[in-house]
Amino acid sequence: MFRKILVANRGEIAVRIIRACRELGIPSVAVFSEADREALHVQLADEAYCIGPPSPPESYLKIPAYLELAQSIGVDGVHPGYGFLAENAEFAGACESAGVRFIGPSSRAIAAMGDKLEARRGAERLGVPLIPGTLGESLSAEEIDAQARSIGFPVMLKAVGGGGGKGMRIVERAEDVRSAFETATSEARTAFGNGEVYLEKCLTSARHVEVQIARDSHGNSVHFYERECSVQRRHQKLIEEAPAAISGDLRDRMTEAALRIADGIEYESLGTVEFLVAGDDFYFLEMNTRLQVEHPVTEMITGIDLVKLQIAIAAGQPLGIEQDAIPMLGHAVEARICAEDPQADFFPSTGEVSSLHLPGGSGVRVDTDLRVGYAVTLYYDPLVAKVVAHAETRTAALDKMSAALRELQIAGIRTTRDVLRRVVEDDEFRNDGYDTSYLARFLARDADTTDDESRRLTAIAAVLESHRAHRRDGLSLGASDGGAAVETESAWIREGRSRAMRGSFGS
Amino acid sequence: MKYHVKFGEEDTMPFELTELEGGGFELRDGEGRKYTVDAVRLPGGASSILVDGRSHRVVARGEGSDIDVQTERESVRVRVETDRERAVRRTRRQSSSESGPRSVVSQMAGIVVRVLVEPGAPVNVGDPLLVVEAMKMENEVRSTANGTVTKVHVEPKQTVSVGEQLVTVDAAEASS
Repeated sequence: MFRKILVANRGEIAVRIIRACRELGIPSVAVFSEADREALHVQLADEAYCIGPPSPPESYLKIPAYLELAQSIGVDGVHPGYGFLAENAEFAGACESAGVRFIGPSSRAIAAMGDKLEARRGAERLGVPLIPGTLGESLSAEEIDAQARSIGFPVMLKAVGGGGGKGMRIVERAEDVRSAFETATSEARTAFGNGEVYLEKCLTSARHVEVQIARDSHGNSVHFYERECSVQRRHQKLIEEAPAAISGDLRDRMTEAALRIADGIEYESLGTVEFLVAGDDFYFLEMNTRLQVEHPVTEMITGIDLVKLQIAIAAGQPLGIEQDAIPMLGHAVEARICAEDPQADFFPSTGEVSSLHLPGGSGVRVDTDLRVGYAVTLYYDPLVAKVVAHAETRTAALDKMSAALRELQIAGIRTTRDVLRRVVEDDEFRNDGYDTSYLARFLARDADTTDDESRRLTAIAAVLESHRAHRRDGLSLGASDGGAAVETESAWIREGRSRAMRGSFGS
Repeated sequence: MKYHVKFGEEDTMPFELTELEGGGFELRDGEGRKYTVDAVRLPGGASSILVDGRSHRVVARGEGSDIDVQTERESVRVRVETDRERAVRRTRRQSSSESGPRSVVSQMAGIVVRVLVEPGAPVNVGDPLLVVEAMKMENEVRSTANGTVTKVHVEPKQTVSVGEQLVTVDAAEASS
């Protein structure tokens, strides 16, 4: 096993990995930017070092800083989490040559799957079905334009070096190809340092289903079933479930295809093969060569700690699990709480968390590094918490999620809490099956569903707060406000009252 | 004490608040319904509110008249005013729906990536004016008025904060 693991990340995922290290008895090292000195991952790690200013290119993305640190303090394993350098082949390669084990696949596998075009060509060679689209490189705006017209609209522009919805645009009409090409190229260049894009036919009414796999350095491979990730907005997942509502036959074919890819590229780590499912057919989308944000739903239904497994694989240990021994128990749902304002078109919301209450209880898991005083800045990912609910059935899991989201309170920043709750309570979401077009449809009809009683409570709470503020500020409750009686009362009575208020509703 | 609670633009709920001897409050709404309310501020900023025995956990925080309320069901900003505050605001209020220069302000903190318009450009409501990047996503900022761009206040790579003026659109010239 490892002597010491450096976690090259921040936020909830750094906390998740450090917790796994603590369970395994492996000393962990946190890094933090100047903005994250107070962060939870710093507190939980055995050692912590500042690696630079808040801006990610100057801190969390700085490859030499990690290598220097790793070598100076005797680190022999680096876990990249997700995002940042998790799918950066250069980083994995630099770790390899520095003699530090990158806890993930080889730089070669990352490069092969990170280049989305090469991944498409690889999947094609292995006989895995592909979405119609381009397989060529360095397409110009003119070529993209011509290809789009021949494939037929809508089409999807995707970054060759991309993932996570960045550098990705749906184009509905021929006249929008140029502007979408420019935006996607520019976003891809900013996010991945590679502005190349490719084209795929956009399958409407398709579902996004992904298979979790693991393969060790001894050639053993297993899958952990699938996750349904079709609740997306602008290709960002909001809610994930496991298992997906698919037939046993489709599950068999998809998991077999996922393992064929893993074996075909001699993959060694945890990985996820993403597919689009349309009817009873499935198509290869891409392979994510990292731990996924939504890995907890798989952990809940299988009872297996994927992060600890990923660390064991990196240490050269055999999987030690037979496929038949991996259970699929009940149903799990994850809701991503993001610092975004659903009332303002999901614009990022910055600010400081002023009050916080996390839900808990049987079958409820919250992965977060939130705390009172937590500052949400524009430097980092807006994901601030993952609420996961696990129960015997899908209905019971959704009921549990609804209760958990009602219990969750995060004040000081705007979050996606309320819209996520309305989705898990929505009839169409619960009963009719859904695809990637569902959320846009839901948001369009998601009018003000608040009832009178809820509104009255909000009003009463606001009045009490306003009254408290007026009392605190000692503003004269003058005659025009109907406060004459207060003004003419004896000071003794007023003093007694304000003391009573401090007791019951004081500051 | 009389308070007016305003939801959005139209909906206003009046409440008469009376402090009860020995703690607690009585609130009376616009239709004369009375509520007996007990409220305790909890460490950490939330409040436990009992309305006629029904228990609620709520976070309410205000800056001036604007109060952010989070209940189990919703997170909203409402405006709460006393009679006097409401009168003061009404006399100050200016008509903002007429033609004239209109500012498009940033809804988020971020970095300007591209400016898509120049002074003199005719724009309609919903037209993209510029692109602001925040948290690694590019977001188009759209015009809130029909008219002509008279000034662009920012340039690419500039950092902008919430509420910062980005573009001025003169709504007078294309009011048809």
